[in-house]
Formats: sequence, C-alpha cells, structure tokens
Amino acid sequence: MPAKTYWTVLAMACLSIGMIWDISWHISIGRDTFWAPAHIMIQLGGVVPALLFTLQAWHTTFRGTAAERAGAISLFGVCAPLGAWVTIWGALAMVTSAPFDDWWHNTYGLDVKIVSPPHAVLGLGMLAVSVGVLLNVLSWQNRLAGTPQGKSAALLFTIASGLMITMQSVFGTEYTWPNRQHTDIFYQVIAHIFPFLLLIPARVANFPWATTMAAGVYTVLTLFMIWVLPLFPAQARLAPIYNPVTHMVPPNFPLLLIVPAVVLDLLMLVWGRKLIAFRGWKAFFHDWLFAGVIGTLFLGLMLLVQWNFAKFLLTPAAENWFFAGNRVWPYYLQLKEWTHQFWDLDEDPLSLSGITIALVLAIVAARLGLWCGRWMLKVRR
Amino acid sequence: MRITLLLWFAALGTAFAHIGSPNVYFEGTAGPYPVRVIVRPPGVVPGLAEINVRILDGDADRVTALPVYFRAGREGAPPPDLAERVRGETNLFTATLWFMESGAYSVDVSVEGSKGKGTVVVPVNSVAMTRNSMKPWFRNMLLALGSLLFASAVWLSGAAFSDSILEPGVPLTSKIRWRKRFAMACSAIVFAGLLTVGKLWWDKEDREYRTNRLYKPTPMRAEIDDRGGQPFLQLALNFSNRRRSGPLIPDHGKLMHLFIVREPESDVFAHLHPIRAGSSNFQAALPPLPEGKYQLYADITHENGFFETLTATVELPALPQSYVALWKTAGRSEVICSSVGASLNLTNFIVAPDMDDSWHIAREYSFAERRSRLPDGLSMTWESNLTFRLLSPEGASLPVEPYMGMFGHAVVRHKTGSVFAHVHPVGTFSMASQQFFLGATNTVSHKHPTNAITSVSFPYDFPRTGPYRIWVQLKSQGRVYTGVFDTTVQGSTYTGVPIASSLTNNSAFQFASRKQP
Repeated sequence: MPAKTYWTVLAMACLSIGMIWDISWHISIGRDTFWAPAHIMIQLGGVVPALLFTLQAWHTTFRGTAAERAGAISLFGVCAPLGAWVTIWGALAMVTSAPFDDWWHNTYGLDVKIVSPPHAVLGLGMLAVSVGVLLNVLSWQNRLAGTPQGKSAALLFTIASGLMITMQSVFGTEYTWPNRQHTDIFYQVIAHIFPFLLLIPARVANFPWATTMAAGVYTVLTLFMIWVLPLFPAQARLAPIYNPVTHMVPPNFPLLLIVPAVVLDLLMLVWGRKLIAFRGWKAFFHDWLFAGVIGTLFLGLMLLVQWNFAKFLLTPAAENWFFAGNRVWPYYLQLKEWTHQFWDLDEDPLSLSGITIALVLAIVAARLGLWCGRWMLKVRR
Repeated sequence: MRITLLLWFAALGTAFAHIGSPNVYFEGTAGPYPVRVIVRPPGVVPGLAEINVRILDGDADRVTALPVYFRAGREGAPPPDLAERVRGETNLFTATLWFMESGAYSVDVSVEGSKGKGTVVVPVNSVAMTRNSMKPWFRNMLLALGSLLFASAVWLSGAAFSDSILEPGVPLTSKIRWRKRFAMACSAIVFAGLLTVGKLWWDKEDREYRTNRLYKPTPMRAEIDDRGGQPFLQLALNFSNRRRSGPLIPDHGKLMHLFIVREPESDVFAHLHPIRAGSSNFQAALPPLPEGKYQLYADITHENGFFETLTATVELPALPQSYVALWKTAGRSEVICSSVGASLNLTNFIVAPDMDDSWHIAREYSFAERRSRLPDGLSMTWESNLTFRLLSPEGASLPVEPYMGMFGHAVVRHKTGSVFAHVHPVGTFSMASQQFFLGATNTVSHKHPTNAITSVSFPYDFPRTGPYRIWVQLKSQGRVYTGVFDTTVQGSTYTGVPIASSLTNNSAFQFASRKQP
C-alpha cells in the first residue's frame, strides 16, 4: 500500500478536525475570513487528496505499466481508480462552492448556520472527497486481503470510516444538540445517518470489531476536541457579545454511538458475516431482516442511552471540562435558563408517529448500508 | 442549482434613514481632532461595513473603530479594530467592521496622537437593503461548473457499477454495459431530483430573505383631513415590525421631520414637524401650498436608536381661501420663518403649526446652479463642494444662526425621487440616535463656533449620477431662507475617500466631495 494512501486518510482527518475547529472559531471569535486557520485546514483536507490522486492519474496514464492502467478506470484516456475520480470530483465541488458561498454571503448575508445551499455543495464535496479516500483504501484492502498489509489496509479503512462518522455528525450538529434530544427530529436525523455509516465498516472492513472501532474514532476525536480546544484563549471580535467567552468553545459531547456499535459488532459476529455469502432472494430476505433488526436495535438503544444521557448533560453535574455541559455556548447568545432546558417540546415532542418515521428511516438506512457494503466488497479498481 | 437574475429592488425599497443613500457621513471633533467619518454599511446582514476616517487637522498616531450594538451596549462590544493608514495618505485611515445583527449600531471612532485622545460616536443602521443580481459571467461559470459536476457524477455512477467492480484488465461484458447504462440513467434521475430539491430550498431561503430579513420602512399612510373647515395633514404609521418598533424619540427637538415635495416638478417644498395624535398617528398644519400631488418623506428615530425615513404620497386639493387667509404671510412665495407669522395665528388653527415649520414655493428664478435668489433682495450661493453662503443685496456675507440647533439643513433629492437625504453640517445621521448611544448622562456636544458663521458646508456625497435638486435652509436675522439649486452629477460618484479641505477662519464646518456642482 503506497504511502500516499496514509496521507489521504490524514487529509480526511483534516476535514473532520477542521470542521469542528471552524465551528468553534465562529462561535468563539466570530471573525470570518477565508484565510482563517480552520478554513485552511479544511481546504487542505480537500486539496491534498485531490492533488495526490491527480498525480497518480498522471503517472498511471503517462508512465504507468499496462497492469497499472488495467487496474484503473479510463476517462478520455486518463486512467485513475474510482476512489481517485470521486475525490477529484469532490475537490471540484468544494472549489465550486467557494464562489457560490461568497456570492451567497454578499446577497443574503453571512450565513451563520451550518446548513445552507452553498454549504450543502461544500459538504457534498467534502463527503465525496472522503468517500473517494475510503474507496481507495478499500480497494487496497480488497486487493491485499490475506496478506500482512491487508490488516493495515483494513485498519486504515476502519479509521477512515470513523472519520466519516465524525464528519456526518458535524453536519448534523444543529439537530443533535443535547437540548433537542427529546424531540422527534433528533431521532429522525440520527436514524437516517448513522445506521448506514455504522454498517459500512461492519460489513466491509476485514477487521474484528470494526464498527466499535469506527465509533470509537468518532468518540475519541470529538472528546479530543472538547478537551483541547478550551485550552486555547479566545476572545469574540464581533458585536454583539452576550456571552464573553475567554477560550475556544468546544463542541458538544459526542453521541453515544459506541453503544449500538458494540451491539452491531456482536450481531455481525453471530449473524452478519453469513449474510455476505447469500445470493438472490435469500440475500434479499436476510438483508432486509438484518436491516430491520439493526434499525430497531439502533433506535431502541439510542432512545435508551441518549435520552437519559441528554438529561444528564443539561444538569450542573455535566458542567465541567470533561463533559463541557455548559461550555458550548457561542459568544452571541444570551445565556438563560433555556440552556438547561429541552427545546421544542411543545412543537415537536417525541411521539409515536415521529418515532415510527425514525424507525422506518433507521431500517431503510441500515438496508442501504448493507447494500452499499455489498457493493464495496466488490470494488477492485 | 438556481441560476436566475434577481430583480433589482426599486430605489424606494432600499431606503432606511434616507432614501437610496445608505452611507453615513459624520463631521465633528474627536477630542482635539476634527474628523470626518464615512461609514458604508453593508447591504446585507451579517455583512462587512467599511469605515473611513480622515483627520482634518493634526497628526494621529492611532485610530480605532468599535462596533456597538444597541441591545448589548459597550459591555457587549469586542476590542476595537485598529484602522490602517491608507497608503500614500497621512491623515486618512480605514477599517472594516462586521455588523452581525439587524438594528441600530454605533461606530465609536477613537483618535490618539500627540494632542491627546478623543472619541466620536457615529450611529449607523444595520439592515439588509440589497438583493444582488447574479452577473451573467458568474451565472455562466456556475452553470458550467454545475454541468461538469452533474455529468461527471453520472459517469462516476456508471463506473461504480461496471469498471470498478471488475478485476484489473477484465473487459466490460454486454450485461455489465447495460448495468452501467441503467446506473447512469438512475443516477441522472436521482441527481436531477437533488438539484430540484436544492432549487426549492434556494427559493425558500430567498423568499424568507425577502419577506423577513430585507428591510422595509415602517409603512406610512397620508391623507388630508378636515376639521372645522380647516384642512390638515394626517399621517398613520404602522409599527408592525416588533423588532424595530418602539417609542419614538425627538431628533433635535422634533419627533418627526417631514419633508414634502410636489411632483413632478419638485417646485414646492415644505419642512414640517407633525405632532403625535394617538399611538401611531401624526398631524400637521398645512401651510398655504398649491394643490397637487406631493411626495412625503418623514424622518423618525426610534427609542432603540434606529432611524428611518418613511415615505408616502398625498393629493392636496386647493385649500379654502378662508384657511389660506389665516396665514398672515399667504401669497408670499419665499420661505417664512414661521415663528413670527404662526405665533400670531396659533389660536386660530385647529391643528397648530409648529414654530419651526417652513416651506418654499418656487418661482422660475428660484432654481439656480450657483446662485439662488431669495426674498428681500438676498441670495444664496453654492460655493465649492456643498458649501453655501447667504449674501445681502450688496453682496456681503450674512451671518448664519442656528435653526433647530443646526447651522443649516440641506435636503438632497434625485429628480426621480430615487435619492433623498436630509443633511446637517454635522452629517447625515440622527442626532437622537447618537444621543442614545452616548447614554443619558452624556450629552452631544456639537460645538458652535464663537465667531460669526458666514458659510455652511454639508458632508455628503451623491450616491448616484443624474439630476438633483437641493434645498438649503439657512437662518439669518431671525428668518429662515431656502435656497434651491439644481445640479447634474456625472461619472463615477463614489470612491470611498473624499478629498480633504482645509479649515477656513469663517467656516466651522467643512466638507469635501469629489463632485463639483
């Protein structure tokens, strides 16, 4: 496995870390400039893998051996593996989002929210860059299966899966705030994201306890940012300031995805691995059955643990450096009792219909994860 | 992806304080330093405002700018931004500040140097006023990039289900080719669906911006009412915007400064001060103006420091002769200082005129580019930039007195009505808003010079090209005189850096503008 594969995974980590850092920058300091360090880190996360893969495509096309060219996909004579093409596509989307985002700021004002149309294009680009890196690592895992290097590739793939979970959790931040964790929307959001992402390493990685490890990467990385960011002094530079922060504001405590991840790995050990061998209608039936079980378990476990953990996070007991319960608020909010309360309980409380929708979403997401995993196992180029 | 040309809003729709003239001009003294400050507010919120500070006398070592939001005050302000000296200039500094919220801000400009330190407070409104169109080249570029991304995404989907899952070197079979085509067709449908969702999302955001975030002046309705055979002007304001509404506060002594201009000739002008009649109604005595259609501009300041110009139109019928007769000075075309005429008649009016009301009915000779003829053989001249002087019949400069606390009032109006600004020698901002930001304990100190003032300058820059009419009101020997001037502004009108002028002995207020009348 070439060294650049490790570099691309590192760049993928830059995307996740850069996003968390950038959000912290915006809610601690607030100054928006394209050349903010966090922005540069995110751009590096897109540019570095794209450049590495472009170089690879150049080499394969013009200097590669016949075997190397045969192991690539050709577009107008330019040869590169699927992962490289997807990453280059993602970088192009990221580049496209920059002028679009600038125009958006000049037309509608600086968007101080994560989810906006130009940010969606940027997010799509970052997602594609990450998927490309993931596919590239996967192709090495699939090619090197059974060799000592295959273990490294599988480990790298698992880590990359964890980074992907981290990135998606950042995209969903606005909906996964602890104060929202007693509403329908929270469970619907996590239900349609995480079963899919958790099943990818479970199904694809040639590594025991891959899902637990991927969820662990997400948890450890987020905790790392929670504990490290507040070590750096910061002062808001924009008015109005209602909450005079003195240090970088950390993200929220990570979701307890580690719990369903452990259960998923256990299920994979006793049941899931057999699914891969099934073909035809048998595979179809078992995949849906497995997805149903996984989706139900995921939602049930998250309801059990996250529901109660959210209650804890809103108590004074969580107001410390470890949980950062009350240290996550931006400089521009007036902190009152609402910071310790659950939000939207009148408009969007947890309901039977809401949780049913979440269950359907979780099952469908799990099924898509299985389907995607089955396809990923076949990727050779 | 939505690529459409967005509509330019009509100029009236882009109003806040003043119409079509968003820049705020300030001239005053920061401690020992006379300064001129220009704030170019962003067209959107949050957005970046540009601050230009020119030190008119003395050398400054350090200039800072501090944004203060009305709700948070100075306790909620960040550390001030250091303004950079403009390259090649010795006394011009520039800074940029983010306005993150809608509402009233002030920019506190501090100047430090060998003479000491001083600060001025410049109130500014922060509101979304513009809705940019997408330039054709930019639209085409986004379209090209979007098309490339779409086509390549479809191709990648096909490759994902064909080439990528084949062992190296294995050629595509017919079955896999069909699978590839099927995958590409499905992905094209999915991506087109995503684009449609994106467009709907964009539309929703745009609608939300236009409906809730884009500034709309407080609606005002005007009508002519009649009581006891006496017509009067009735104004109804609709304070529906809870974020901005609030009690009004007086700006140099008046809750409302109302300017009315007869359309389409702009030949009749009045500066009135309606009084409150109920929570959101105002009334004003009508001067003896000729019938016609009038455009109204009402300057008000809210208690939270937000100031705005409201607009309305009204059809004025011919006034009854009995009512016109009440005005002792009826039939005179020139502006009167109503404190004399009105005081004699106050008890005869159902709605009493304000002592400081004034108006002007033009005659042909009234308009001028350089010299406006006034009653009593007087004249008013327009000197360099926006500097004006009152002259006696013999051509001698007459001393100017304060009129409602100011040495002069200028009203600048584009002939189309797309620009309207009420300017004082201290600038274009609301003094009431400035007082709000200074706080109750600090009073505004616009120092009046002790020596006789014979010329008055207004710090203002025409925001767009075209024909303008300017009414300048100066008071001398107890009477208010209104000079009327016409000018056409050509070429580029704003560079962001006005030319400095030097102080002269007989003028306390100086202004420099690139444009010459």
